[in-house]
Amino acid sequence: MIYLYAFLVSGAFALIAQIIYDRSKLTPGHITSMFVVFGAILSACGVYQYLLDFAGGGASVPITNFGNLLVEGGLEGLKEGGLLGMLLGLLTKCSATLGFTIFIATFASIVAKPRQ
Amino acid sequence: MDYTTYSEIVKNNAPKKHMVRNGFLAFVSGGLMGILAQSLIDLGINVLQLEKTEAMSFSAIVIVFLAAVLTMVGWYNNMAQIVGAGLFIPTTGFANSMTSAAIEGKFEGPIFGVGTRMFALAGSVITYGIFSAVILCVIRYLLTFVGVPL
Amino acid sequence: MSLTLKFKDVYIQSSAAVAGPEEANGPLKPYFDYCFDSIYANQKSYEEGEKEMSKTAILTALKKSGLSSKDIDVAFGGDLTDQLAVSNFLAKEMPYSFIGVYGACSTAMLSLALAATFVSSKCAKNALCFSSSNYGSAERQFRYPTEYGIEKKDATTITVSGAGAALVGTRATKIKVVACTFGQVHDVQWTDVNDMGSPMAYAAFDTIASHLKHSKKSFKDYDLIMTGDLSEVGSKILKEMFEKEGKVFYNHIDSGSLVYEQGEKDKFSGGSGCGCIAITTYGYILNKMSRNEIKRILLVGTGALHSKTSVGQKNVIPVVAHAVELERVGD
Repeated sequence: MIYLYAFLVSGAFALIAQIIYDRSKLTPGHITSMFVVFGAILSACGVYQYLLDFAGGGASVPITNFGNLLVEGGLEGLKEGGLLGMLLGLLTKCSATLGFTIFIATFASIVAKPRQ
Repeated sequence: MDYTTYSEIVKNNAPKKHMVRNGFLAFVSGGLMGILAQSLIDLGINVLQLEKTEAMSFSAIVIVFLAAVLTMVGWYNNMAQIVGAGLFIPTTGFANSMTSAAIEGKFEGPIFGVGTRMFALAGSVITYGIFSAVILCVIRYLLTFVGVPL
Repeated sequence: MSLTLKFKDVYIQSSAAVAGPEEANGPLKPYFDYCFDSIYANQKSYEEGEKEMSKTAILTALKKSGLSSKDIDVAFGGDLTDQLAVSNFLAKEMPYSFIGVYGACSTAMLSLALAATFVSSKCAKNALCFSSSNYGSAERQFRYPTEYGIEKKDATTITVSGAGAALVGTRATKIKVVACTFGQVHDVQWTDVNDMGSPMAYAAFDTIASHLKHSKKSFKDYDLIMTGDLSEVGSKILKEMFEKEGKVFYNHIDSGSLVYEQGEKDKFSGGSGCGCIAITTYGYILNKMSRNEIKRILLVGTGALHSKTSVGQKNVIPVVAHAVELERVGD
């Protein structure tokens, strides 16, 4: 069942984004930034975890999860060490994705040439 | 010719938008990405004996890798032309924006080219993600004083 | 009021059109002097590739004219890159005066009109004009990395990778440069960078109307009136604008629709860029004219005069169109 929910949730996020893209002058850059903030808000309200339990990969793959991981890390750090702890914890959950992406992008720039 | 008449003519000739088709393609492809992500999580848990959170990171890394490779071989943007948000909303969009910008930045060298241009498109996601996360966490911190636990 | 100038004793001495692989796959291939099989033109970057294409066009035009660098008095040229980097770089090899001009996609016609003006007013005996564009360098400049997965909207046009050059002089040849109209810049409150054909149609309308009025001519006096890159959308708008004034614009063609195979999905609404009208004119049109298949034509280069910064600051996109009239003379 989780596969069905993964399909529906991830598809729904994409559909909403596509509708915004087609109906407005917003670029994917604008829309993804909005979604990240939205994910962070859902996370701060304690809702995002339910989404992850319900839809698994369907909630972890959209960019909203980036916002969720940032808040999750921040809140965990907040619990352990107040505001300073929050700053320490902020990037802990998303560092795998962020670090790997920067690494592979740099690697790509070495081996690949832009095509036409 | 006055502006009003011109605007009317422009409106009459606006190209048709394929919103239903685009929405359908985005929904299906976005959904398939969700399925791919979930399969990778299950692979992580069952085959690689990872914890759930580790498996989620594993899933994200594999997807970033796939998006980067597809960008390098030049297939990604052809796929994205068809599915739109189905690719730019998942982590694939983030990975592609950084990879494509980095690859093209190489002409200006490693520092000004690759190093800075890489973040040209994805930068605002990181910026506003972090900015809003800090504000939200501070709000949660302040709420603890009125009895809302973390 | 747009300025229309009538020229005296100005002729096209020679011309050359150089294109990239996508253009070579299009219907105009037989009319190009040379086609590169990559937009890098065997160079290290898109910008270097554009320089190479432009240089090839200039040298080819020069060779075909039988003239040498010493015979050229002045050159006018431009492209889409920041600060005209490509054209300025080529200009440093030129042992004659260079005047860089920016008209966005109207640059080819702007530079041709200026070259003709200098020759007609006897300020120069021979003047060179050239312009170029490159898909890679233009996308980087104005839009996104070429591999970026963005869903391009239907009204998008594809920047032509190509360069055109022509030598204009007083020696009589079969192609006469009759007149030109330097267009006014217009503001039609347009902010959508994904569709430039629509606002440019307004500029084309104004320049064409001005030229016809000042020359006391009408559509029937031309075999063809060719716009630069209005795209399918802009072309429809232009025709409808004239219809509203009771005129049927039956002999219009857009170089953006000529340069690529019609209906090809990855070409969206057609070609654009300085190179678009440049290679179509200097390759296809002049060829047809020398074979007496076209006798009189009005070429209308159109340009969208925005910058990435101006768009980022939510400014409107000003538009312009410059026209040059050519006539086949002799037998």
